[in-house]
Amino acid sequence: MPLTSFLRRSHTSFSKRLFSRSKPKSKSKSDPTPVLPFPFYTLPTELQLHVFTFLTLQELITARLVSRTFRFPNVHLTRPDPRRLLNLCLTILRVPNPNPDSLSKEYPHAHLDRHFDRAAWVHLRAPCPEVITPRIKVSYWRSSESPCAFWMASKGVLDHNGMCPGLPFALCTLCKKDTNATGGALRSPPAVNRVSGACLGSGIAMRVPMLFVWMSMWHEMVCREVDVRWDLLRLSNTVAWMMIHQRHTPPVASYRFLTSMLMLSNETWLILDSSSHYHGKVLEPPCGFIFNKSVFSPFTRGLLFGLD
Amino acid sequence: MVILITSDNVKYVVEKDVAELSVLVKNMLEDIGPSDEPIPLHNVTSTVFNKVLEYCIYHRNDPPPSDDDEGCASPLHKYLASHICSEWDQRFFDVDQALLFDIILAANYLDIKTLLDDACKAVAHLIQGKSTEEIRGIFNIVNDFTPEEEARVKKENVSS
Repeated sequence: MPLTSFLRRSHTSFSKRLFSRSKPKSKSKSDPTPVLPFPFYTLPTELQLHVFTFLTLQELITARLVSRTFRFPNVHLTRPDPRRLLNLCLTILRVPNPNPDSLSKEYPHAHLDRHFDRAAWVHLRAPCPEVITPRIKVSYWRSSESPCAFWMASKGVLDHNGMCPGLPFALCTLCKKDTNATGGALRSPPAVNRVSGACLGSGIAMRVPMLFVWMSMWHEMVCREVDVRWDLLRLSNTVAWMMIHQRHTPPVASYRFLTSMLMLSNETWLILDSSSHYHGKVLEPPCGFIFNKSVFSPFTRGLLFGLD
Repeated sequence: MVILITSDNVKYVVEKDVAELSVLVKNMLEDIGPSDEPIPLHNVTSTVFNKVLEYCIYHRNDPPPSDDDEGCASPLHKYLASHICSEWDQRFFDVDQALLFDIILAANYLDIKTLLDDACKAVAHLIQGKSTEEIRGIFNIVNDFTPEEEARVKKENVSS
C-alpha cells in the first residue's frame, strides 16, 4: 500500500473513532449520561501548547478560524515567544522561498537541528551595567546585531511586516570571552565550519523555507589596562564597529584596543518547523550565504579555507 | 514492588520498573530510599490510574525517550511519529473525552513523557483534518468572531 494512502487511512480511521465520541449520541432512557465535549480550555497552558505542537502549521492555520481564543492558542495564554515565532512561520509562508543550490546543503544539514533559544538571545542582549575591572589583558567578543528590516531594506526582498522579533535596532552586545562569549547565555559565537571541496556539491537537493531574522557580526577584541564600563561600550545605531573606539575613547582614555579582528559575520534565519516547541529552528549561515544563492562570498570563502 | 495509593484511597502494588516509568514516582523512590511506605498519588483517581497503569505495563520495555530524539529525527520521521500510533495505542486512547482529559493531567502529574505525548497526539487527532465547524463541535466552542474579524482571518489564511 502506498505510504500516503496508509497514512490517510490510519489518520482518518483513528480520528473518526475519536471524533465520533464527541458527537452527541442518541441516548436511551437507561443511558442518561451526557457526552461532554473535550474540556480543552481547562487544560493547563503548557499542555494546551503541547497539544498544538502535534499539529502541522496548516492545521494551526485552520484552527485560527475557530474562535478568538482559539485563533492563537499559544498567544494569549503564554509567553510571547511562541506567538512571535508562529507569526514568523506564518510570514514564511508568504515569502518566496530562497532557492539554495548545492552549495547550501552543507549548512542546512549541519545546523537545522538547532532549536531556537530565544531566551538566550534576550538574555544575551540585556544591558550589562556593571563596571568590570579586567585583568591586565582581557579579550572579549563583541556582537553587533541588527534586525532583518535594516539589512533587507536595500535589497527589497524580504522586508516585510517589520518582523523583528524583539530586537532593538542595531545594538551591539559585549560578551566577555571568559564567559564563553555568551554573557552567561546558552548561545555560543558562531563556529567557522571547515568546508572541504569534496563535500560541496554532494548530497540531496533541498528547498528550505526560511525567514531572515537578523544579522550578527562577531569580533574578537583585546584591550588592556582599563576599567571598562561595559554599558558604555555600545554602538550608537549603526554597524561601523570601529566607532566604538572613537566614540568612547575620551571618557575612558586609559584603555587601548590592541586588536580588533572581525571573526565572522553571520545571518540568522528562522526555519519553519512546526514540530518544534518554538515552531522554528535556527540556521546561521555566513553573511550573504543565502542571497549569494547559497554560495560563500569570496571573503567568507577565504576565511573558511584560509583556516585549512 | 512499589505500593501506590490513589487519591480515592485505592492501593496498588506495582512492579518497580513499571512504577518508575513515572519520573515523579522514581524521584520519590530515590528520595525515600528502600522502604515499604506507600506512595500517595494525590492528583490521580483509581479510574484514571487504571488506564495509566495499563499503558505503563504495555510500554514497560520501550526504550526510554531521549531528549535528542526530536533533534535527530528527519522531518519524515517526525511526521510519521506524530501521525501514527500503534493499533494498541489507538484502542487505548479510544475512550471518552473526559477520561482522555484526565489521562493527560495524570501523565503530566506523574511525569510520564511518552504517555503525555501520546495522549496529546490523540487530542491533536481530534483537530487534524477537521473543518473549523467540526473543531467547534468537538471542543464545544462558540464562534465569537465578528464578521469583520472572521473575514480578516480568512483573508490572512488564504494569503498564507
